[in-house]
Amino acid sequence: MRRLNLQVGLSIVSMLIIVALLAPWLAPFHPTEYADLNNAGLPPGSPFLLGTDEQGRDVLSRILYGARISLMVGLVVQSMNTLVGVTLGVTAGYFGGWWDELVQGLTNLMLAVPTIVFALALMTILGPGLTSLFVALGLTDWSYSCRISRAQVLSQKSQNYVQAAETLGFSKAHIMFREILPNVAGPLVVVATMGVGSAILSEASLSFIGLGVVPPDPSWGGMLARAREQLMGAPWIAIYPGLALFFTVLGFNMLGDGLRDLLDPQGRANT
Amino acid sequence: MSGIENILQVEGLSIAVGSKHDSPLAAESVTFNVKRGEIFGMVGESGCGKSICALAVSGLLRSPLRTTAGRVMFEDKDILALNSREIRQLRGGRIAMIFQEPMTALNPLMRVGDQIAEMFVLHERLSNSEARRRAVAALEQVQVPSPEQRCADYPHQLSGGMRQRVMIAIAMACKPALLIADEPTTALDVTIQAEIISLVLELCQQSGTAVLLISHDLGLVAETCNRVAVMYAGRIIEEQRGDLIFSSPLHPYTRGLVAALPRPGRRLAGGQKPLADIPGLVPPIGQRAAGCHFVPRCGRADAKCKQDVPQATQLGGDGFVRCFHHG
Repeated sequence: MRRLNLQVGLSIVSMLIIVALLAPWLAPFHPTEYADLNNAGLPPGSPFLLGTDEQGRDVLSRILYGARISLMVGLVVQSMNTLVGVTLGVTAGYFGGWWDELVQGLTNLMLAVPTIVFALALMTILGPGLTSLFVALGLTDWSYSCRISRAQVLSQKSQNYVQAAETLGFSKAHIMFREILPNVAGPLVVVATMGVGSAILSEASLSFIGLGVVPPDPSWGGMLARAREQLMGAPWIAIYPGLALFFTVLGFNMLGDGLRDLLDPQGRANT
Repeated sequence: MSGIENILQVEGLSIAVGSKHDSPLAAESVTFNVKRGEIFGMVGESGCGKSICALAVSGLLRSPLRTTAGRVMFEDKDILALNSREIRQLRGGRIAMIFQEPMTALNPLMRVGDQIAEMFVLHERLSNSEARRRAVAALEQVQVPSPEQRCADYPHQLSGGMRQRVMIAIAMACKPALLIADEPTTALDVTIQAEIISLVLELCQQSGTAVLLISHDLGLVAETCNRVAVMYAGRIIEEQRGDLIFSSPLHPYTRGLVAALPRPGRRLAGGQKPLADIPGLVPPIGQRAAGCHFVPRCGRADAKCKQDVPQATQLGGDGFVRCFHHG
Protein backbone atom coordinates (compact mmCIF):
# COMPACT_ATOMS: atom_id res chain seq x y z
CA MET A 1 0.00 0.00 0.00
CA ARG A 2 1.26 3.44 -0.86
CA ARG A 3 1.65 5.83 2.03
CA LEU A 4 -0.11 3.53 4.47
CA ASN A 5 1.57 5.32 7.37
CA LEU A 6 0.30 8.65 6.26
CA GLN A 7 -3.27 7.48 5.71
CA VAL A 8 -3.58 5.56 8.98
CA GLY A 9 -1.80 8.26 10.98
CA LEU A 10 -3.91 10.99 9.48
CA SER A 11 -7.13 9.05 10.18
CA ILE A 12 -6.25 8.42 13.80
CA VAL A 13 -5.14 12.00 14.42
CA SER A 14 -8.16 13.53 12.75
CA MET A 15 -10.45 11.22 14.70
CA LEU A 16 -8.73 12.30 17.89
CA ILE A 17 -9.23 15.94 17.00
CA ILE A 18 -12.93 15.40 16.21
CA VAL A 19 -13.46 13.48 19.44
CA ALA A 20 -11.70 16.16 21.46
CA LEU A 21 -13.75 18.94 19.89
CA LEU A 22 -17.09 17.13 20.18
CA ALA A 23 -16.53 15.49 23.57
CA PRO A 24 -19.46 17.28 25.30
CA TRP A 25 -21.84 16.00 22.62
CA LEU A 26 -20.36 12.55 22.16
CA ALA A 27 -20.01 11.65 25.83
CA PRO A 28 -23.11 9.95 27.26
CA PHE A 29 -22.36 11.12 30.83
CA HIS A 30 -20.52 13.97 32.51
CA PRO A 31 -16.92 12.86 33.13
CA THR A 32 -16.65 14.14 36.72
CA GLU A 33 -20.04 15.13 38.05
CA TYR A 34 -21.82 11.90 37.19
CA ALA A 35 -20.49 9.60 39.89
CA ASP A 36 -22.90 7.08 41.39
CA LEU A 37 -21.26 4.68 43.80
CA ASN A 38 -24.15 2.27 43.22
CA ASN A 39 -22.78 1.77 39.71
CA ALA A 40 -19.11 1.47 40.74
CA GLY A 41 -17.00 -1.09 38.92
CA LEU A 42 -19.60 -2.18 36.38
CA PRO A 43 -18.21 -4.14 33.39
CA PRO A 44 -18.78 -2.86 29.83
CA GLY A 45 -22.44 -3.05 28.79
CA SER A 46 -25.45 -0.81 28.62
CA PRO A 47 -25.69 2.07 29.40
CA PHE A 48 -21.98 2.23 30.31
CA LEU A 49 -20.40 1.05 27.04
CA LEU A 50 -16.90 0.73 28.45
CA GLY A 51 -17.94 0.10 32.04
CA THR A 52 -17.54 2.33 35.11
CA ASP A 53 -14.65 3.04 37.43
CA GLU A 54 -14.33 2.64 41.18
CA GLN A 55 -16.38 5.80 41.81
CA GLY A 56 -19.11 4.83 39.35
CA ARG A 57 -18.03 7.27 36.61
CA ASP A 58 -18.49 6.34 32.95
CA VAL A 59 -15.13 5.22 31.51
CA LEU A 60 -16.08 6.09 27.91
CA SER A 61 -17.04 9.66 28.81
CA ARG A 62 -13.84 10.12 30.77
CA ILE A 63 -11.77 8.83 27.85
CA LEU A 64 -13.53 11.21 25.42
CA TYR A 65 -12.92 14.20 27.70
CA GLY A 66 -9.39 12.95 28.36
CA ALA A 67 -8.68 13.31 24.65
CA ARG A 68 -9.13 17.07 25.06
CA ILE A 69 -6.47 17.27 27.73
CA SER A 70 -4.08 14.96 25.90
CA LEU A 71 -4.43 16.84 22.64
CA MET A 72 -4.11 20.25 24.25
CA VAL A 73 -1.04 19.22 26.22
CA GLY A 74 0.47 17.61 23.13
CA LEU A 75 -0.07 20.64 20.89
CA VAL A 76 0.86 23.36 23.39
CA VAL A 77 3.92 21.53 24.65
CA GLN A 78 5.20 20.69 21.21
CA SER A 79 4.60 24.24 19.96
CA MET A 80 6.70 25.54 22.83
CA ASN A 81 9.40 22.97 22.16
CA THR A 82 9.43 23.78 18.46
CA LEU A 83 9.57 27.51 19.13
CA VAL A 84 12.49 27.16 21.53
CA GLY A 85 14.31 24.51 19.49
CA VAL A 86 13.94 26.18 16.12
CA THR A 87 14.87 29.63 17.40
CA LEU A 88 18.00 28.29 19.08
CA GLY A 89 18.87 25.95 16.20
CA VAL A 90 18.40 28.45 13.39
CA THR A 91 20.34 31.22 15.10
CA ALA A 92 23.09 28.80 16.13
CA GLY A 93 23.43 27.50 12.59
CA TYR A 94 23.34 30.94 11.02
CA PHE A 95 25.59 32.88 13.37
CA GLY A 96 27.97 30.07 14.34
CA GLY A 97 30.81 31.02 16.71
CA TRP A 98 30.39 31.15 20.46
CA TRP A 99 26.58 31.20 20.26
CA ASP A 100 26.65 27.97 18.27
CA GLU A 101 28.98 26.37 20.82
CA LEU A 102 26.74 27.43 23.68
CA VAL A 103 23.55 26.16 22.05
CA GLN A 104 25.21 22.90 21.10
CA GLY A 105 26.46 22.40 24.63
CA LEU A 106 23.00 23.05 26.00
CA THR A 107 21.46 20.65 23.48
CA ASN A 108 23.90 17.92 24.41
CA LEU A 109 23.10 18.48 28.04
CA MET A 110 19.38 18.13 27.37
CA LEU A 111 19.99 15.00 25.31
CA ALA A 112 22.17 13.42 27.97
CA VAL A 113 19.52 13.62 30.69
CA PRO A 114 16.17 11.99 29.89
CA THR A 115 13.46 14.58 29.29
CA ILE A 116 11.18 13.04 31.84
CA VAL A 117 13.76 13.52 34.58
CA PHE A 118 14.03 17.22 33.80
CA ALA A 119 10.25 17.47 33.63
CA LEU A 120 9.92 15.63 36.95
CA ALA A 121 12.28 18.04 38.63
CA LEU A 122 10.43 21.05 37.22
CA MET A 123 7.02 19.63 38.16
CA THR A 124 8.21 19.06 41.72
CA ILE A 125 9.17 22.70 41.94
CA LEU A 126 6.09 24.09 40.19
CA GLY A 127 3.54 21.68 41.65
CA PRO A 128 0.89 19.72 39.71
CA GLY A 129 -1.48 21.38 37.24
CA LEU A 130 -1.85 22.10 33.54
CA THR A 131 0.24 25.29 33.49
CA SER A 132 3.14 23.58 35.22
CA LEU A 133 2.80 20.71 32.75
CA PHE A 134 3.13 23.12 29.83
CA VAL A 135 6.21 24.72 31.32
CA ALA A 136 7.83 21.47 32.45
CA LEU A 137 7.35 19.62 29.18
CA GLY A 138 7.48 22.61 26.82
CA LEU A 139 10.94 23.72 27.90
CA THR A 140 12.66 20.36 28.13
CA ASP A 141 12.19 18.47 24.86
CA TRP A 142 13.46 20.88 22.22
CA SER A 143 16.83 19.25 21.56
CA TYR A 144 15.77 17.37 18.41
CA SER A 145 14.13 20.40 16.81
CA CYS A 146 17.21 22.38 17.68
CA ARG A 147 19.72 19.92 16.27
CA ILE A 148 17.82 19.37 13.08
CA SER A 149 17.14 23.01 12.39
CA ARG A 150 20.78 23.85 13.04
CA ALA A 151 21.99 21.17 10.64
CA GLN A 152 19.50 22.24 7.98
CA VAL A 153 20.45 25.89 8.26
CA LEU A 154 24.12 25.01 7.97
CA SER A 155 23.44 23.26 4.69
CA GLN A 156 21.29 26.10 3.35
CA LYS A 157 23.61 28.88 4.46
CA SER A 158 26.00 28.31 1.58
CA GLN A 159 23.19 28.23 -0.99
CA ASN A 160 23.25 31.04 -3.49
CA TYR A 161 19.83 32.37 -2.65
CA VAL A 162 20.94 33.04 0.91
CA GLN A 163 24.01 34.90 -0.29
CA ALA A 164 21.87 36.72 -2.82
CA ALA A 165 19.55 37.85 -0.03
CA GLU A 166 22.59 39.21 1.79
CA THR A 167 23.67 41.22 -1.23
CA LEU A 168 20.15 42.61 -1.57
CA GLY A 169 20.39 44.18 1.86
CA PHE A 170 17.98 42.06 3.87
CA SER A 171 18.42 41.89 7.63
CA LYS A 172 19.79 38.78 9.31
CA ALA A 173 16.45 38.06 10.96
CA HIS A 174 14.71 38.27 7.59
CA ILE A 175 17.24 35.92 6.01
CA MET A 176 17.01 33.40 8.86
CA PHE A 177 13.27 33.25 9.30
CA ARG A 178 11.81 34.35 5.98
CA GLU A 179 14.33 32.94 3.52
CA ILE A 180 15.93 29.91 5.16
CA LEU A 181 13.27 28.64 7.56
CA PRO A 182 10.57 27.87 4.94
CA ASN A 183 13.17 25.90 3.02
CA VAL A 184 14.00 23.69 5.99
CA ALA A 185 10.45 23.35 7.29
CA GLY A 186 9.91 19.80 6.00
CA PRO A 187 12.05 17.87 8.48
CA LEU A 188 10.96 20.17 11.29
CA VAL A 189 7.30 19.35 10.65
CA VAL A 190 8.14 15.66 10.94
CA VAL A 191 9.97 16.14 14.22
CA ALA A 192 7.15 18.28 15.58
CA THR A 193 4.48 15.75 14.66
CA MET A 194 6.26 12.92 16.39
CA GLY A 195 6.95 15.24 19.30
CA VAL A 196 3.21 15.69 19.89
CA GLY A 197 2.91 11.95 20.48
CA SER A 198 5.79 11.86 22.90
CA ALA A 199 4.48 14.93 24.74
CA ILE A 200 1.13 13.19 25.20
CA LEU A 201 2.95 10.17 26.56
CA SER A 202 5.01 12.33 28.92
CA GLU A 203 1.84 13.98 30.22
CA ALA A 204 0.34 10.55 30.88
CA SER A 205 3.50 9.45 32.69
CA LEU A 206 3.53 12.52 34.90
CA SER A 207 -0.20 12.21 35.62
CA PHE A 208 0.34 8.53 36.38
CA ILE A 209 2.70 9.35 39.21
CA GLY A 210 0.41 12.12 40.39
CA LEU A 211 2.44 15.12 39.14
CA GLY A 212 0.35 16.02 36.11
CA VAL A 213 -3.29 16.84 35.69
CA VAL A 214 -5.07 17.30 39.01
CA PRO A 215 -7.92 14.82 39.73
CA PRO A 216 -10.84 14.63 39.20
CA ASP A 217 -10.10 16.05 35.70
CA PRO A 218 -9.92 13.09 33.35
CA SER A 219 -6.40 12.44 32.13
CA TRP A 220 -5.55 9.12 30.58
CA GLY A 221 -2.43 8.81 32.69
CA GLY A 222 -4.36 9.58 35.85
CA MET A 223 -7.09 7.07 34.94
CA LEU A 224 -4.44 4.40 34.46
CA ALA A 225 -2.92 5.21 37.83
CA ARG A 226 -6.12 4.67 39.72
CA ALA A 227 -7.14 1.65 37.65
CA ARG A 228 -3.95 -0.09 38.67
CA GLU A 229 -5.41 -1.19 42.01
CA GLN A 230 -8.37 -2.91 40.34
CA LEU A 231 -6.48 -4.45 37.46
CA MET A 232 -7.53 -7.95 38.51
CA GLY A 233 -11.18 -7.22 39.32
CA ALA A 234 -12.05 -4.52 36.79
CA PRO A 235 -9.46 -4.57 33.99
CA TRP A 236 -11.58 -2.39 31.65
CA ILE A 237 -10.87 0.66 33.77
CA ALA A 238 -7.22 0.35 32.73
CA ILE A 239 -7.49 -1.27 29.32
CA TYR A 240 -9.55 1.36 27.52
CA PRO A 241 -7.61 4.49 28.52
CA GLY A 242 -4.47 2.48 27.78
CA LEU A 243 -5.71 1.69 24.30
CA ALA A 244 -6.68 5.32 23.73
CA LEU A 245 -3.18 6.40 24.69
CA PHE A 246 -1.60 3.67 22.58
CA PHE A 247 -3.51 4.55 19.43
CA THR A 248 -3.02 8.28 19.87
CA VAL A 249 0.75 8.02 20.15
CA LEU A 250 0.80 5.46 17.34
CA GLY A 251 -1.26 7.81 15.20
CA PHE A 252 1.11 10.75 15.66
CA ASN A 253 4.14 8.58 15.02
CA MET A 254 2.67 7.13 11.84
CA LEU A 255 1.65 10.59 10.69
CA GLY A 256 5.20 11.79 11.29
CA ASP A 257 6.63 8.81 9.43
CA GLY A 258 4.23 9.33 6.58
CA LEU A 259 5.08 13.02 6.34
CA ARG A 260 8.76 12.16 6.25
CA ASP A 261 8.22 9.82 3.33
CA LEU A 262 6.05 12.39 1.62
CA LEU A 263 8.55 15.22 2.05
CA ASP A 264 11.60 13.20 1.07
CA PRO A 265 11.80 13.17 -2.72
CA GLN A 266 14.10 10.15 -2.73
CA GLY A 267 11.72 8.11 -0.64
CA ARG A 268 8.89 9.23 -2.88
CA ALA A 269 10.69 8.00 -5.98
CA ASN A 270 11.07 4.53 -4.47
CA THR A 271 7.42 3.93 -3.67
CA MET B 1 26.17 65.83 -10.42
CA SER B 2 28.63 65.88 -13.25
CA GLY B 3 28.86 63.02 -15.70
CA ILE B 4 32.51 62.17 -15.11
CA GLU B 5 32.32 61.98 -11.33
CA ASN B 6 33.64 58.75 -9.81
CA ILE B 7 30.92 56.69 -8.20
CA LEU B 8 33.31 54.05 -6.94
CA GLN B 9 36.91 54.55 -5.99
CA VAL B 10 39.02 51.63 -4.89
CA GLU B 11 42.41 52.70 -3.61
CA GLY B 12 45.25 50.37 -2.75
CA LEU B 13 42.91 47.58 -1.69
CA SER B 14 44.70 44.50 -0.32
CA ILE B 15 42.83 41.41 0.77
CA ALA B 16 44.46 38.63 2.75
CA VAL B 17 43.38 35.03 3.12
CA GLY B 18 43.59 34.16 6.81
CA SER B 19 44.19 36.23 9.87
CA LYS B 20 47.93 35.76 10.32
CA HIS B 21 50.37 38.60 9.93
CA ASP B 22 51.97 37.03 6.87
CA SER B 23 48.79 35.57 5.33
CA PRO B 24 48.98 35.41 1.55
CA LEU B 25 47.26 38.18 -0.37
CA ALA B 26 44.41 37.39 -2.74
CA ALA B 27 44.38 40.96 -3.97
CA GLU B 28 47.34 43.34 -3.81
CA SER B 29 46.95 47.10 -3.76
CA VAL B 30 44.16 47.06 -6.28
CA THR B 31 43.27 50.55 -7.47
CA PHE B 32 40.54 51.46 -9.89
CA ASN B 33 37.58 53.74 -10.17
CA VAL B 34 34.22 53.54 -11.84
CA LYS B 35 32.62 56.70 -13.15
CA ARG B 36 28.94 57.46 -12.90
CA GLY B 37 27.00 55.57 -15.55
CA GLU B 38 30.10 53.93 -17.01
CA ILE B 39 30.65 50.26 -17.76
CA PHE B 40 33.88 49.08 -16.22
CA GLY B 41 35.17 45.60 -16.98
CA MET B 42 37.42 43.38 -14.94
CA VAL B 43 38.92 40.36 -16.63
CA GLY B 44 41.23 37.66 -15.42
CA GLU B 45 41.32 33.94 -15.00
CA SER B 46 39.83 32.01 -12.11
CA GLY B 47 41.49 32.85 -8.83
CA CYS B 48 43.03 36.13 -9.96
CA GLY B 49 41.07 38.03 -7.32
CA LYS B 50 38.42 39.76 -9.37
CA SER B 51 35.40 38.30 -7.55
CA ILE B 52 37.02 38.98 -4.21
CA CYS B 53 37.39 42.64 -5.15
CA ALA B 54 33.69 42.69 -6.05
CA LEU B 55 32.79 41.19 -2.68
CA ALA B 56 34.88 43.81 -0.92
CA VAL B 57 33.11 46.57 -2.85
CA SER B 58 29.75 45.36 -1.59
CA GLY B 59 31.08 44.79 1.92
CA LEU B 60 30.54 41.05 1.75
CA LEU B 61 34.00 39.75 2.56
CA ARG B 62 33.72 36.88 5.01
CA SER B 63 36.34 35.21 7.09
CA PRO B 64 38.96 33.99 6.25
CA LEU B 65 39.10 36.90 3.80
CA ARG B 66 39.89 40.32 5.24
CA THR B 67 41.10 43.64 3.96
CA THR B 68 44.55 44.59 5.14
CA ALA B 69 44.93 47.93 3.39
CA GLY B 70 43.15 50.39 1.19
CA ARG B 71 39.87 52.22 0.89
CA VAL B 72 36.67 51.55 -1.00
CA MET B 73 34.81 54.82 -1.53
CA PHE B 74 31.26 54.47 -2.82
CA GLU B 75 29.77 57.87 -3.55
CA ASP B 76 31.01 59.66 -0.42
CA LYS B 77 31.07 56.72 1.96
CA ASP B 78 33.96 54.45 2.89
CA ILE B 79 32.42 50.99 2.54
CA LEU B 80 35.06 49.35 4.71
CA ALA B 81 34.27 51.71 7.60
CA LEU B 82 30.50 51.29 7.59
CA ASN B 83 28.71 49.17 10.17
CA SER B 84 26.55 46.28 9.04
CA ARG B 85 23.28 48.25 9.25
CA GLU B 86 24.60 51.11 7.14
CA ILE B 87 25.98 48.75 4.55
CA ARG B 88 22.73 46.79 4.37
CA GLN B 89 20.95 50.01 3.45
CA LEU B 90 23.32 50.44 0.52
CA ARG B 91 23.15 46.86 -0.68
CA GLY B 92 20.22 46.15 -2.91
CA GLY B 93 19.32 49.83 -2.98
CA ARG B 94 22.37 51.80 -4.17
CA ILE B 95 24.66 48.84 -4.92
CA ALA B 96 23.12 45.79 -6.55
CA MET B 97 24.65 42.50 -7.64
CA ILE B 98 23.83 39.80 -10.12
CA PHE B 99 25.48 36.43 -10.05
CA GLN B 100 26.54 33.74 -12.42
CA GLU B 101 24.13 31.13 -11.02
CA PRO B 102 20.59 32.25 -11.75
CA MET B 103 19.45 28.68 -11.12
CA THR B 104 20.05 28.88 -7.41
CA ALA B 105 20.12 32.57 -6.55
CA LEU B 106 16.35 32.75 -6.14
CA ASN B 107 14.58 31.42 -3.06
CA PRO B 108 12.97 28.18 -4.28
CA LEU B 109 9.94 28.56 -2.01
CA MET B 110 8.92 32.11 -2.82
CA ARG B 111 6.91 33.27 -5.77
CA VAL B 112 8.99 35.24 -8.23
CA GLY B 113 6.75 38.30 -7.93
CA ASP B 114 7.07 38.35 -4.15
CA GLN B 115 10.84 38.20 -4.39
CA ILE B 116 10.87 41.29 -6.57
CA ALA B 117 8.22 43.04 -4.49
CA GLU B 118 10.29 42.49 -1.34
CA MET B 119 12.89 44.88 -2.72
CA PHE B 120 10.40 47.72 -2.98
CA VAL B 121 9.08 47.04 0.50
CA LEU B 122 12.59 46.89 1.97
CA HIS B 123 14.31 49.75 0.20
CA GLU B 124 11.49 52.07 -0.84
CA ARG B 125 9.07 51.34 2.02
CA LEU B 126 6.18 50.74 -0.34
CA SER B 127 2.99 48.99 0.74
CA ASN B 128 2.60 45.36 -0.27
CA SER B 129 0.00 46.00 -2.95
CA GLU B 130 1.96 48.90 -4.44
CA ALA B 131 5.15 46.78 -4.37
CA ARG B 132 3.37 43.97 -6.17
CA ARG B 133 2.25 46.31 -8.93
CA ARG B 134 5.81 47.57 -9.30
CA ALA B 135 7.04 43.96 -9.44
CA VAL B 136 4.88 43.29 -12.47
CA ALA B 137 6.22 46.44 -14.11
CA ALA B 138 9.78 45.38 -13.28
CA LEU B 139 9.25 41.99 -14.92
CA GLU B 140 7.82 43.69 -17.95
CA GLN B 141 10.93 45.86 -18.13
CA VAL B 142 13.21 42.84 -18.33
CA GLN B 143 11.05 41.60 -21.22
CA VAL B 144 9.45 38.64 -19.53
CA PRO B 145 6.31 37.79 -21.47
CA SER B 146 2.95 37.89 -19.60
CA PRO B 147 4.51 39.27 -16.40
CA GLU B 148 1.32 39.02 -14.32
CA GLN B 149 1.25 35.24 -14.70
CA ARG B 150 5.01 34.87 -14.22
CA CYS B 151 4.81 36.78 -10.92
CA ALA B 152 2.80 33.90 -9.50
CA ASP B 153 5.36 31.30 -10.65
CA TYR B 154 7.99 29.67 -8.50
CA PRO B 155 11.62 29.78 -9.67
CA HIS B 156 11.68 26.12 -10.73
CA GLN B 157 8.93 26.83 -13.25
CA LEU B 158 11.16 29.26 -15.16
CA SER B 159 14.03 28.58 -17.56
CA GLY B 160 17.59 29.67 -16.79
CA GLY B 161 17.35 32.72 -18.99
CA MET B 162 14.04 33.72 -17.39
CA ARG B 163 15.51 33.32 -13.94
CA GLN B 164 18.44 35.51 -14.84
CA ARG B 165 15.96 38.11 -16.09
CA VAL B 166 14.19 37.90 -12.74
CA MET B 167 17.53 38.38 -10.97
CA ILE B 168 18.16 41.43 -13.13
CA ALA B 169 14.70 42.76 -12.30
CA ILE B 170 15.47 42.33 -8.59
CA ALA B 171 18.89 43.94 -8.93
CA MET B 172 17.61 46.89 -10.96
CA ALA B 173 14.40 47.28 -8.93
CA CYS B 174 15.59 50.27 -6.94
CA LYS B 175 17.61 51.86 -9.75
CA PRO B 176 21.00 51.33 -8.10
CA ALA B 177 23.92 53.66 -8.74
CA LEU B 178 26.24 50.69 -9.19
CA LEU B 179 25.54 47.22 -10.50
CA ILE B 180 28.11 44.54 -9.87
CA ALA B 181 27.68 41.79 -12.43
CA ASP B 182 29.87 38.82 -11.52
CA GLU B 183 30.03 36.54 -14.57
CA PRO B 184 26.36 37.20 -15.27
CA THR B 185 26.12 35.02 -18.35
CA THR B 186 28.51 32.15 -17.70
CA ALA B 187 25.79 29.64 -16.90
CA LEU B 188 23.64 30.54 -19.90
CA ASP B 189 23.43 29.49 -23.53
CA VAL B 190 25.46 31.58 -25.94
CA THR B 191 22.37 32.97 -27.67
CA ILE B 192 20.77 33.94 -24.37
CA GLN B 193 24.05 35.49 -23.20
CA ALA B 194 23.92 38.22 -25.80
CA GLU B 195 20.29 39.01 -25.02
CA ILE B 196 20.93 39.20 -21.28
CA ILE B 197 23.96 41.42 -21.65
CA SER B 198 22.23 43.87 -23.96
CA LEU B 199 19.24 43.90 -21.61
CA VAL B 200 21.45 44.74 -18.64
CA LEU B 201 23.25 47.46 -20.54
CA GLU B 202 20.01 48.97 -21.78
CA LEU B 203 18.44 49.06 -18.32
CA CYS B 204 21.58 50.53 -16.81
CA GLN B 205 21.70 53.23 -19.45
CA GLN B 206 18.08 54.13 -18.73
CA SER B 207 18.65 54.51 -15.02
CA GLY B 208 22.18 55.89 -15.22
CA THR B 209 23.60 52.90 -13.39
CA ALA B 210 27.31 52.23 -13.53
CA VAL B 211 28.30 48.62 -14.12
CA LEU B 212 31.25 46.72 -12.72
CA LEU B 213 31.32 43.78 -15.11
CA ILE B 214 33.44 40.87 -13.97
CA SER B 215 34.18 38.23 -16.53
CA HIS B 216 36.80 35.96 -17.96
CA ASP B 217 35.37 36.54 -21.41
CA LEU B 218 37.78 39.02 -22.97
CA GLY B 219 35.62 39.44 -26.06
CA LEU B 220 32.52 40.32 -24.08
CA VAL B 221 34.36 42.81 -21.93
CA ALA B 222 36.18 44.48 -24.81
CA GLU B 223 32.94 44.84 -26.70
CA THR B 224 30.77 46.25 -23.94
CA CYS B 225 33.02 48.13 -21.54
CA ASN B 226 34.20 51.72 -21.62
CA ARG B 227 37.30 50.76 -19.69
CA VAL B 228 38.80 47.39 -18.85
CA ALA B 229 41.14 46.30 -16.07
CA VAL B 230 43.08 43.08 -16.53
CA MET B 231 43.93 41.23 -13.33
CA TYR B 232 46.65 38.68 -12.90
CA ALA B 233 47.48 36.89 -9.65
CA GLY B 234 45.88 39.51 -7.42
CA ARG B 235 47.11 42.64 -9.21
CA ILE B 236 45.66 44.83 -11.90
CA ILE B 237 48.38 44.66 -14.51
CA GLU B 238 46.80 46.78 -17.17
CA GLU B 239 43.92 49.20 -17.51
CA GLN B 240 42.83 50.45 -20.90
CA ARG B 241 39.94 51.76 -22.88
CA GLY B 242 37.73 48.84 -23.88
CA ASP B 243 38.26 49.28 -27.59
CA LEU B 244 42.04 49.43 -27.19
CA ILE B 245 42.50 46.22 -25.24
CA PHE B 246 42.20 44.15 -28.40
CA SER B 247 43.93 46.47 -30.82
CA SER B 248 46.86 47.49 -28.67
CA PRO B 249 47.35 45.29 -25.63
CA LEU B 250 50.48 46.38 -23.74
CA HIS B 251 51.23 43.96 -20.92
CA PRO B 252 52.78 40.67 -22.06
CA TYR B 253 49.95 38.82 -20.29
CA THR B 254 47.23 40.77 -22.08
CA ARG B 255 49.10 40.32 -25.35
CA GLY B 256 49.22 36.60 -24.69
CA LEU B 257 45.50 36.50 -23.97
CA VAL B 258 44.62 38.39 -27.12
CA ALA B 259 46.95 36.21 -29.18
CA ALA B 260 45.31 33.10 -27.72
CA LEU B 261 41.87 34.06 -29.00
CA PRO B 262 40.72 32.00 -31.95
CA ARG B 263 40.27 34.08 -35.10
CA PRO B 264 38.20 32.51 -37.83
CA GLY B 265 39.75 32.77 -41.28
CA ARG B 266 43.27 33.57 -40.09
CA ARG B 267 45.95 32.11 -42.33
CA LEU B 268 48.66 30.24 -40.52
CA ALA B 269 52.28 30.88 -41.39
CA GLY B 270 54.51 27.84 -41.67
CA GLY B 271 55.00 26.06 -38.32
CA GLN B 272 52.58 28.37 -36.50
CA LYS B 273 50.21 26.72 -34.07
CA PRO B 274 46.51 27.22 -34.75
CA LEU B 275 46.05 28.71 -31.27
CA ALA B 276 48.78 30.51 -29.39
CA ASP B 277 49.13 29.78 -25.69
CA ILE B 278 50.81 31.28 -22.65
CA PRO B 279 53.28 28.74 -21.28
CA GLY B 280 53.05 27.71 -17.64
CA LEU B 281 50.39 28.10 -14.99
CA VAL B 282 49.15 30.86 -12.72
CA PRO B 283 51.23 30.68 -9.53
CA PRO B 284 48.94 29.52 -6.70
CA ILE B 285 48.21 31.99 -3.96
CA GLY B 286 50.93 31.78 -1.32
CA GLN B 287 53.58 30.78 -3.85
CA ARG B 288 53.84 34.10 -5.60
CA ALA B 289 57.38 35.42 -5.82
CA ALA B 290 58.51 38.96 -5.12
CA GLY B 291 58.59 41.22 -8.12
CA CYS B 292 56.25 40.78 -11.05
CA HIS B 293 54.00 37.73 -10.68
CA PHE B 294 54.09 37.08 -14.41
CA VAL B 295 57.85 36.50 -14.51
CA PRO B 296 57.79 32.67 -14.75
CA ARG B 297 55.62 32.83 -17.86
CA CYS B 298 56.99 35.95 -19.46
CA GLY B 299 59.29 35.96 -22.48
CA ARG B 300 60.65 39.40 -21.66
CA ALA B 301 61.44 38.97 -17.99
CA ASP B 302 64.87 39.93 -16.71
CA ALA B 303 66.53 40.25 -13.33
CA LYS B 304 64.78 43.54 -12.55
CA CYS B 305 61.36 41.95 -13.09
CA LYS B 306 62.19 39.29 -10.50
CA GLN B 307 63.10 41.80 -7.84
CA ASP B 308 60.86 44.83 -8.18
CA VAL B 309 57.14 45.12 -8.50
CA PRO B 310 56.57 47.20 -11.62
CA GLN B 311 54.74 50.43 -10.84
CA ALA B 312 51.90 51.70 -12.95
CA THR B 313 53.09 53.47 -16.09
CA GLN B 314 50.43 55.98 -17.07
CA LEU B 315 49.44 55.85 -20.68
CA GLY B 316 48.39 58.79 -22.79
CA GLY B 317 44.76 59.52 -21.96
CA ASP B 318 43.20 56.85 -19.84
CA GLY B 319 44.82 53.74 -18.42
CA PHE B 320 48.09 52.33 -17.20
CA VAL B 321 50.25 49.25 -17.47
CA ARG B 322 52.41 47.61 -14.83
CA CYS B 323 55.37 46.27 -16.76
CA PHE B 324 58.99 47.30 -17.24
CA HIS B 325 58.95 46.08 -20.80
CA HIS B 326 55.52 46.90 -22.08
CA GLY B 327 54.53 47.79 -25.59
